[in-house]
Amino acid sequence: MESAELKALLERHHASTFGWAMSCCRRDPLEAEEVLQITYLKVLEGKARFNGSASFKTWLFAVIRKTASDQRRKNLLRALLTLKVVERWTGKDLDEPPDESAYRSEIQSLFRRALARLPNRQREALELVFYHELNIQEAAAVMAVSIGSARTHYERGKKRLRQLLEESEALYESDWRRKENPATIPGVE
Amino acid sequence: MNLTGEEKRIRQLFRGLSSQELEQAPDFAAVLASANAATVRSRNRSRSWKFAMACSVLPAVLSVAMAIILQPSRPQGNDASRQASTPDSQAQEAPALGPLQARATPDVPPRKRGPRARRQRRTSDPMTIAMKTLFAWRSPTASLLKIPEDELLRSLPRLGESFQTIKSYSPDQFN
Repeated sequence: MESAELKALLERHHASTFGWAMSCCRRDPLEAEEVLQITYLKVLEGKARFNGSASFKTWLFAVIRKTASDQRRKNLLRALLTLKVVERWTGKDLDEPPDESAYRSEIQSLFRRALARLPNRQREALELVFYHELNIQEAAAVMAVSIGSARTHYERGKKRLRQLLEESEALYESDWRRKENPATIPGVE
Repeated sequence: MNLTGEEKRIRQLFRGLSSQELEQAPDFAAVLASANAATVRSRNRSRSWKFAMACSVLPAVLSVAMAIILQPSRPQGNDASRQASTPDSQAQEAPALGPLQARATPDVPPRKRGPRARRQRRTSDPMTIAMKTLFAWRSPTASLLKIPEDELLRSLPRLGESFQTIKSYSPDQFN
């Protein structure tokens, strides 16, 4: 495949690849952009070759996932070397997105938090199916697991997400009720 | 794909997420341009690292090489003392070595040795010195066992030579 053709394909899938990169980078836009840059270079320089065994989007998603994983490992090593990880562990919750205040709605915010608390594989399966509208087979190819395994991750992910959302919503509602009418909550003056 | 009520709700939530993230998505051209810039930067950085490494390693290599080349040769005190002590005894005891061995010890100019040979010799020195000392040792009473016919007995007769001729040979003159 020629460079111009590859560029056109990359540009066509750019929006969805950014979404997937965000997912692989725990919703950190800067890290996602860095991963995208590395991925595009890999593809254009021929370090990652598309052999046509899957669709281009599936293959590109797999490359992004691998790149993000490598990048995370590198960042962790770098952080360990510079002892920044201590700050991260003691400073703030890792699951909390950096731009929490920017979320439009509380529900979306709760959803993001619930999503961040899911195990990686389950989150990936759900995102690939619901966000990127891939089927289970394509999701399995991106995740480099068998179809059965992908289906299991998908089902467990759905179940866990429902639990987490219910917990979050219950907390949110009780919190909201407490703010609205403190007298209705026992033990609150 | 038939979605259940729960799946529809999840999809809706993901759509909301997707629409938020699409607003944050950087421009494709910008991503590509910064990727290219990062490549150039990393290439320059790796080149300067290589240069710095070469600059730091080269003097070290040169200094080691100079140290090896300019290393003072080992003082040959042991050999010299041994050689100084042996001429008399060799002159006396040369017949005891036999003609073949005596022939093997003529004055051969010492070969010039490079640093590598010197290093090898230095490593085997203690053993060599011990062996040489052992073989050079002669009993102090060996001269008492000498008889005038020793020379005749130790020389090899040749065909067609008379007894007188043989007798006149000394081991050192043989051959």
